Amino acid sequence: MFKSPSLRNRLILGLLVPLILLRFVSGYLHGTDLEKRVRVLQDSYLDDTLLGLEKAVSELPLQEIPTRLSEILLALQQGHLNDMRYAVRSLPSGVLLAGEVWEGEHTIESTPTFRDSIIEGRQFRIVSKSLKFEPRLGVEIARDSTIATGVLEDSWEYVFLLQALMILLVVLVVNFVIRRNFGPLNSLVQEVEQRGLKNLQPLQPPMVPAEVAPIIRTINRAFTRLQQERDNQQSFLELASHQLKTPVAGMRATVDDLIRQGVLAADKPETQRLNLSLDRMQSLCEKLMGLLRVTSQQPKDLPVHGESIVDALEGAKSVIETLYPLAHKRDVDLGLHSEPEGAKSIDFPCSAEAYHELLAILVDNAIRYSPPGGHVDVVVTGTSPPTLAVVDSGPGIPPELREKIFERFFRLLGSGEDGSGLGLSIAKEICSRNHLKIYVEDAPNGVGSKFVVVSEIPISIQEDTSSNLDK
Amino acid sequence: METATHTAPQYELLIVEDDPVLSGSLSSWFKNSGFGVTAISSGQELDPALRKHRVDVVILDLSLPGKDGMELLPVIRQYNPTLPVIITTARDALTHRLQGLNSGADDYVTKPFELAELEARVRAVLRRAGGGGETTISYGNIVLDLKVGVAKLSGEVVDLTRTEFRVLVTLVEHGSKVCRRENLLALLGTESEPVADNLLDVNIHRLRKKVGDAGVSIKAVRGVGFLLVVPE
Repeated sequence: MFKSPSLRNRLILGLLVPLILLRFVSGYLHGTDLEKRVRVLQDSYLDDTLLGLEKAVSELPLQEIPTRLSEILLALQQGHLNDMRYAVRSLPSGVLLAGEVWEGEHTIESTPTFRDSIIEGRQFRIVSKSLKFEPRLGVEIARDSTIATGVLEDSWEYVFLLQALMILLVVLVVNFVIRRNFGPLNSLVQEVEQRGLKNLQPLQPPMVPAEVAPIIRTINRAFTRLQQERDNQQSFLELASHQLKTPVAGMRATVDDLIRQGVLAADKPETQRLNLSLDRMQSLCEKLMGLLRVTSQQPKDLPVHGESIVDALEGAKSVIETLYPLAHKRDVDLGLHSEPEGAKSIDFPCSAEAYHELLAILVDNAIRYSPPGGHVDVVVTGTSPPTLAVVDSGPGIPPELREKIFERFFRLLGSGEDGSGLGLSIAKEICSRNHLKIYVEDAPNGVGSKFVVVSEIPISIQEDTSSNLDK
Repeated sequence: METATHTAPQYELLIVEDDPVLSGSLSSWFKNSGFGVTAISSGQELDPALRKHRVDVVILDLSLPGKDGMELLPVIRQYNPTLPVIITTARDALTHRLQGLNSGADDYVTKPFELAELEARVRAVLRRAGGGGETTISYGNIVLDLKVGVAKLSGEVVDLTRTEFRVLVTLVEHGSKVCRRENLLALLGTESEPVADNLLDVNIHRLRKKVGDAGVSIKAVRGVGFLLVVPE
């Protein structure tokens, strides 16, 4: 799937590329300017030397010039033997009259001309000019520019190093500033993602940019509307299931009364069908109420893991007491088994209400899906983590459906049971809200299913469990 | 469907229920069980009803128009602090149940319920209240005379030991509900757990044999206790 580039990365890229280019251009300009300055300095020195020479020569009688010129140049060279060379040439022939030969011929102009050349492996800057008298002579003065060139090269390196450091600094600063500014936005995104649609409380981020505030307001308005819709739905559900129970109770009581008066015969198929319909209606009402209780819990009302502890054995006894009449009616042997055997109480990390509701759903399901003469065992294990299991002797659940059965309104085909498809989805919801994990596997003897509920985060309550044995 | 019959003196029952169908069925059932019945449908009628009639037990619905059942409980308690009250409600969450019991109700039944079970509960709270001087209790074809300690099954006297009789009384008192093993163990008067366990199992075994002929069975609910099953 195409993933749109992140705004943060685009901003970082958009800011960094021009800034880095700008630093490069500025470095280049700075370097060339420096080079130009050094050049000017070098050339002005050569120019000054040339001017001094011309001035000295102009004061000489014309015939002495060729001989004296070399002397003056030699004298100039005295202090700079290593870094200065000269040549006097006759023009226009270019024949060397005095000084040194260092390279091929060059046209010598009447204005000072500068150039670079390598002499004996060293870098020299040369100025050449023809003198303004006859016979025409051309003078070339070369000055070692190795040091200046070295300085220039060093300067370039310095400029590049400086620019690299500046770029690094710019990258760090831009990244820091953008990350810092995106921080609140990232926390907001994280919060929204974590919440899902379970928590519809308005978002109250501590600090968001002004541009983002309207988005938050819109999200909050949407949350409020969704919450209102949900509240309406809950109210409807509550009204529907709660108020339905009284008419169902009325019908059931009437049937009971009519049977006792002899108007209805308990063993007649019509009466049994009536009772079956009432059973289903009652079951649906109870499921809807269960769904309502689970989904209406706000996250702030949900237990923190380990905060609520229920006695799993006492809770299981209470559920078995409630559902034993159903098991008896269906000729299913319902019982409780504890591990370690004989434990007086076993702590389970869950609220009492959630535990009761969860276990009632599992046991009710197990009874309904077990054949007459079958058995249902509630197994409470007090090791760490404590585990709750409901084992039935029903048809079992194929491995490919073991996830699907926890989806809302999913019903097993061909089971003969006309369930609402809500029970296990409510069980799953209860588990996810109480930090419990629920899954189904084959029953230990290979016939039927085993629903297992286990604490997701193992907590050590081994000591409590063992001490309970002595109670 | 097991039906309970009652030979004790008549009690006056006040039904506070706004659903006419349920109220009508309750009235009919309890009248047939020998109770005097007054049925009202709102809290406004409560005060006159309590003043005009003798009331031995109240069946109070929680969801009523106007003042709900929780608000009416203190009114009943003000009138008679020991008057047994059974709450009936469509709210079945555990917290609601505890809230109902904590607020002073004697028992709590969730809708829908079986009338036989409700009657058993009514009789149980009346016995606990002890006002009626009831000496016999019955469930299905079992009638127990508490005063003389005689058990009759389908009209035939069954010879029971003192412990067997007490065990049967407790089972009958639970009616269609499972009776916890610990409730029965408490009757045996021994502190030692293994001894009491064995003693209970022996008594249940003997009791099963004695009541089996009359079609009564005592089902063992593994890990929890026992359930008395009477013929329909």
